[in-house]
Amino acid sequence: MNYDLSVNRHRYQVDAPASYSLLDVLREVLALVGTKYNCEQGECGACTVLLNGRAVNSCLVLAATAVGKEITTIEGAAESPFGPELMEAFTDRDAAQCGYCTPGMVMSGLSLLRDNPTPSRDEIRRAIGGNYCRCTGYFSIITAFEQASVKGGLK
Amino acid sequence: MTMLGTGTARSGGGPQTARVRGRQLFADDLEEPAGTLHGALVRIDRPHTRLRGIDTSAALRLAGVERVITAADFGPDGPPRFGAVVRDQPVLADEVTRYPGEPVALVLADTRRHAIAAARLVEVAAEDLPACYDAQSALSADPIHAGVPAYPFPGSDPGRSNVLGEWRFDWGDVEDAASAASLILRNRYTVPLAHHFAIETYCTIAEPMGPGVRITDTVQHPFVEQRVVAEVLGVPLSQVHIRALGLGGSFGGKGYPKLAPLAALVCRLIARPVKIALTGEESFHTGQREGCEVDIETGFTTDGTILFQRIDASFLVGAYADVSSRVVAKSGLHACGPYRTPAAQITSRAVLTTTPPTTAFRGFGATHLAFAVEGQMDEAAHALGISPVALRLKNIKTAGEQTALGDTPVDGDWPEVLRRTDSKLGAAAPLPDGHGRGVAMGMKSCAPATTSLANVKLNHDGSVSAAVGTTEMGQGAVITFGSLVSGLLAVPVENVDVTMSDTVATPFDAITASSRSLVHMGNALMQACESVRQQLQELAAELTGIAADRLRVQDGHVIDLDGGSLSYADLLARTFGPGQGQLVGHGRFTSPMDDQHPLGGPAPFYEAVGTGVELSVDSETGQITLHRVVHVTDAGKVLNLPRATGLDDGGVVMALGLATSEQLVYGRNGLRNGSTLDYRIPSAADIPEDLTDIFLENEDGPGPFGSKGLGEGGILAIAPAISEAVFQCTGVRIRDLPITAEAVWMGLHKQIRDVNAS
Repeated sequence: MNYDLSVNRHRYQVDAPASYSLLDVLREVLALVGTKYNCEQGECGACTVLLNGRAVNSCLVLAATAVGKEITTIEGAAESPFGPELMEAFTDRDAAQCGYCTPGMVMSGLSLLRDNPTPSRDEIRRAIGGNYCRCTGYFSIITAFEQASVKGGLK
Repeated sequence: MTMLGTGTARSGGGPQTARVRGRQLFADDLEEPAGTLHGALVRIDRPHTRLRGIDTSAALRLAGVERVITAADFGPDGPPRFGAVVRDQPVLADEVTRYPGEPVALVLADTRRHAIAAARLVEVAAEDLPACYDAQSALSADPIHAGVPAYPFPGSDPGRSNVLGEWRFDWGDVEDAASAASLILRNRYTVPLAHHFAIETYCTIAEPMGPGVRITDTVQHPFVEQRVVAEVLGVPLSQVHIRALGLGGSFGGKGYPKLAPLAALVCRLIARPVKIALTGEESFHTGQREGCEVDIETGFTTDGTILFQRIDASFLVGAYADVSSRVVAKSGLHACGPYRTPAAQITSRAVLTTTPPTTAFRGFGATHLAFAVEGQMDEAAHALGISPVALRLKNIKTAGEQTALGDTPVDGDWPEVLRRTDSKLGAAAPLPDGHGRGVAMGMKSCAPATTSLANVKLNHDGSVSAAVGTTEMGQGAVITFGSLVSGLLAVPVENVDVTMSDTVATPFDAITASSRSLVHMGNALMQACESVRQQLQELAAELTGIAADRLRVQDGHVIDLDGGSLSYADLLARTFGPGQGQLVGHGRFTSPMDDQHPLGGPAPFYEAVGTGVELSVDSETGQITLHRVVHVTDAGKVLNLPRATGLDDGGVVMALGLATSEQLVYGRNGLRNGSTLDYRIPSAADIPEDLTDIFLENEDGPGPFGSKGLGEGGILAIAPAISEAVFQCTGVRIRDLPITAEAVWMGLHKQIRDVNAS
């Protein structure tokens, strides 16, 4: 199947089987390997990307249904609202240990902060409730989100 | 001399920037070598079978499928066997399968999707043999390794029993002690099989290279894998190149070889690169933690002093040895934990079961035994009317005291760890209604008799390239080692590059495990940097005529006490000519070996921790809410505080999952809950309301600046602390992990039924 996808404000021409998920297309067809995978069934959040600014599990999105929508991946996070702040906060707060869940976490963060620039700790926990991390115990990630939010700041 | 280079506190630059931008490459992100075939394993989901036939015809008809490798492809001797400790595991099952998920064939296709789809079409005919999932059934069942040569472990007799090995550690006179005891508690504690659940799955890429192979793998120990693959191929080590990129988590699950031996053999067989990338579900069959059934008998005096321990621990290790023999033997030696134990009889037994081979897992068996020992302490405290903390303080060893069978004496202030945990938990403050508190200790020894080598190169522009065999898996080795070199050689941290985990590019490192790297590789790096520094000083002395002992390094310069200075770049230019040369330093650290010692050498150090919890229980649902957790680590010296805190945060939360929700459930049809939905690891919704990590820094460790290793401690003590706190809230004592809401509820309702019946 042939179609165009807009990823990180760039137009890509895709030729892929109709059954390919957005995750499949990103990694295998477009070689955008920043988006990760584990469960491939919408549980772990490693594959989180933004579809029209909202976080989705790309493993559950049929790629062809993303035509006409704006897809944002970790490769485009630096150009997204709150992107630079969140990435800097992750570095400041040591919120990436092995780094594997980090792309998904950052994307969930961008989705949250876009809708809610001053989230409470509970709102942050809910927003990343679908992003598994096995390394950090989530504390440093939550603190990084707080720093990146409008009321945040290096404490 | 500054201890560390600038940048640690901010952990910024370099690898961290790459991580947050998604630019860090993991094994499955790499572009495949030209001609790569993707492999997908065909697995049997029944526990124990005799294979009758494999029909690959439907799979071979699928588009893109090249070939299906089975046992028949390995000639009359069948699939070779591999293993880091003993070579008992076949690369593919041949005749008999011994665990649900054991690979019986490898489908090779042009894409991963095609390979996985084709693997589902391979038909395997097999007849069921008896399964065994627990110690009782395994010990009474027919051996699953009938006819195999004996394992080289005490107590092993694979032709006759499913005991992989049985290790005894005895001292003192337990009979005598038992007759003197006022209180003897006899209990059984159980800990289930568990899954590491690193978010990155397993991925192995093997390319034929001369008579050998070049492999990129998600592996913690590239040098162990080099040896194992060389053995399987029958080639010298020099013909096996193994490298690991940074791992997306491991926790022991990716330590010892899993897919590499098969991938190595197959890529040579077909003369093309092979890539095998597992799904999340397949990872459940590939990395598991031992379960354990502990029968423990502890004797106390009336004032709570421990007189003896009788510990019989059956570890359920799965169908092949992997490194579980080591887990069982090593943890058995220190089964009594951090407490004075005048007499002990310890049997630590590895029992083969028809489940996947278990391997190393953060804590290396100490967690299982701590759950039992700490539970005994809590129950004794209640029976004797002493507080659980006071009882522990009465028995806990102090620095310099002897440990089990003359292993390294206590190397830290363990009573202070306990006191600090208790006081930070706020033991002095009144307990809110409906809350319970628990405090427990954990202790494990670092693996003995291992070697780390390090190379450091000072480039002619003054930048530094270091090479260490340690594998980065989130523990912060890259950052911490970079910082260490930066400080020692007085070079900005941005100008230090650290190459890691590559048998070609980095010198030998035994393993990245056991919390050993900061001590072993850190010391090797210090020695390598010292060598470079000496060379700098000597060259400067030659050039200037100033005595070397009047020179030192500072800010990328060699300076003398009168204020003269020469930059490294100038120094090298004058020594080697402009734009040329390099100073190379080498370091080595080997912890002592002793073949009279039951583990091959004394413990280089101990990791000792205390964990305290305050929680409440919803009596309608049994659900636990953790209000506060305190975790104290005897660290010696912390070189990277944000990361050390992060490691303890993560270890505690992982342990929380293991204590309250994680267990692998096996039944007649194999693994019942091998998926992300059904095997419940903690999410951000499950973490305690408050977690405080504290580090004791008495500079009493053998590593750089008095450091010890850390990173495993978080896993050791929260389960018994939770068990005690639940007891305080509810009167229900739970000795089987996980302490699920269901288990608490059942306990509460059993109480109600018992009360009603009486």
